[in-house]
Amino acid sequence: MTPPNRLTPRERLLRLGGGLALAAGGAALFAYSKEHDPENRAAILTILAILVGLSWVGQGLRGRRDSLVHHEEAAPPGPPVSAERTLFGILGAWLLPGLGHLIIGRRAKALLYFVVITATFAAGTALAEGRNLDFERDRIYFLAYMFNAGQTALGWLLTRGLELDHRIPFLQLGLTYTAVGCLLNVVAMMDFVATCSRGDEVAEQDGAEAAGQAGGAA
Amino acid sequence: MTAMALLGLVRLAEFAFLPPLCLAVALVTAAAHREDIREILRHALRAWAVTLGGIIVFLFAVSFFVEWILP
Repeated sequence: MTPPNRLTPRERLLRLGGGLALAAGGAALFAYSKEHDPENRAAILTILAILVGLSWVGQGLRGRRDSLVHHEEAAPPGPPVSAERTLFGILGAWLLPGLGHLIIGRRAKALLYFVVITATFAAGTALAEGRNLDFERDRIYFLAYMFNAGQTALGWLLTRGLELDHRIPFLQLGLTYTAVGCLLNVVAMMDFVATCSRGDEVAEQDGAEAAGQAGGAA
Repeated sequence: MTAMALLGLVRLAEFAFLPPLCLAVALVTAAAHREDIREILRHALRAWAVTLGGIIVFLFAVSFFVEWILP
């Protein structure tokens, strides 16, 4: 059996390919933003994408999932979760950070994800004085915003009348905060799916053991 | 700090907003694949310290290179 932090050949290939694609996409978006936006407001977001992509390439080359700061252990198993609840949870987590975990009874993690992601999103909106959710002005950032649909939709509804009529000192920082908050929701959703998968593995193992015991008794 | 201005990425006033953002990222990434809240906080604080330390060391290195080596 492969240790939890070791990547299988397929995972290594995915990390290498995905990392190169993300880094190349980030570089292309940086060039596009630099050419079309005099202030290059998407600079920090695209640089983050390049760094994450390079990190994936590094993991693919090393063949290990962990980084300098995150050493992954075997995660504890959870209760089995049905496919319908998993899909419903993904949709819930997409609409509201932490809702997926709340649906399967992981209240502490649901609260952690909700508080951290909502605070980051709200801080970004406050720093940008509500001018961070304009699709026409900041299209590149909406690539990140679409992963946190509920808060983005609510924020857009509340701030859609605001115009960029004066200089906002922390506009780019606000955009970065909001985008990072939304991208963190991807991590929360992936953790939700991984938690549900671990429950399925436990159910399969229990089923196999029960079948083995029944066979032995017969 | 001149290096930051030269890079055009981080202004001095904006640097103050970096630690909270790093903390948010550290908390969420540490929570993934873990269940115990104390374990999550421990890993998140370590990740936060390493990331911030790395950024500060990187900026000092760039600053040193730009202000002392290049001239």
